[in-house]
Amino acid sequence: MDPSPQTLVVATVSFVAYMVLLVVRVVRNRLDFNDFILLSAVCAVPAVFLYFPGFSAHVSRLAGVSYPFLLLFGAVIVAAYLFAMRIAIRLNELKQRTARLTQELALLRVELDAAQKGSDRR
Amino acid sequence: MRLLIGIPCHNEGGSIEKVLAELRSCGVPHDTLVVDDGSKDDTARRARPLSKVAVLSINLGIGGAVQTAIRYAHRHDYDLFVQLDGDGQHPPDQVRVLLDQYLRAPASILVGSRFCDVQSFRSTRLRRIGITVISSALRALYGIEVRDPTSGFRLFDRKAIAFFHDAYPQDFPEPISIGVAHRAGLTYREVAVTMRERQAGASSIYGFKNLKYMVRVLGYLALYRMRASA
Repeated sequence: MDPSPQTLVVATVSFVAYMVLLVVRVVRNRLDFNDFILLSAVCAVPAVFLYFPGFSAHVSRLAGVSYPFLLLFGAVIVAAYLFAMRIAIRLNELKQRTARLTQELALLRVELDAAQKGSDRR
Repeated sequence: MRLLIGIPCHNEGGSIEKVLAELRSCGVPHDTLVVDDGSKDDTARRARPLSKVAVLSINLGIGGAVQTAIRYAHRHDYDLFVQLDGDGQHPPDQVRVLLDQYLRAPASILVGSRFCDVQSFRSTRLRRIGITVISSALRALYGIEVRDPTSGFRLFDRKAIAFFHDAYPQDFPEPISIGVAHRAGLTYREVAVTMRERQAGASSIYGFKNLKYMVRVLGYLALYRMRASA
């Protein structure tokens, strides 16, 4: 079943607004480019299903899925999961780096205290 | 032989002065480094007149605190490193026992064990059950026999210092470090020592946390075993 003109208009406006939001954040360096690609999938996958209903029906048949929208939700969930996994990996790296920096800072302070004590005695 | 005694502390303001004072009369030439692991009390202030103090600006946990001390030992070229708790559980006079045992029969890691000496304080019954479970897991996963795998009273030689300064387990370091060290070819030995109940403060592992701790330790032991094989 082809989408109605009203659906196409509302969806297009939403997609464009969402992509503009993402692009602005990438340009302002508040979003990583790789994250931008993953987050774009949240918009790109439904767009393919909406603008190319024949193609999405064909893909659904190949995948053995009765209703194309199930494939749509599945693809979006996978994209969201990949994004969440990326964040978890990055958080772990940051945690390790923070621990290392905290240790280095503490040891530097010990050296500084020792140096200051040494110069006070002189 | 240059010895560094590393004392990781978290809110041990009530006992650290006594521990450091006792260490002064333990009869073993040494340097000390107290690692204040993000304490909310006055641990660092009380320790400063008696020892060098490394203050971690955030709480990293026992693994992070001990690694800080090992890093210091590595950087300053110490021959031996002894880890000793700041809560008074490890009588400072037992440092001499570890050192004598090391000189008699060297190993990369000497673990001060509560379970080789009937006179020692051996912790609560629940914890002893947990320790038995962890020992069994170490035997099954790493092929090693350790009666007191959670003991935080241990001696590292140069080889162990070099091994751990950059890669000390951050989570549940006591049991995991022995397993990992063994897989890397380091030797270890258990030595009978006498321990006490903690002199002040409160344990961070209590009640239901004991069970949660147990499950997580077993999970991490399995994880590190997989990493060692990879």
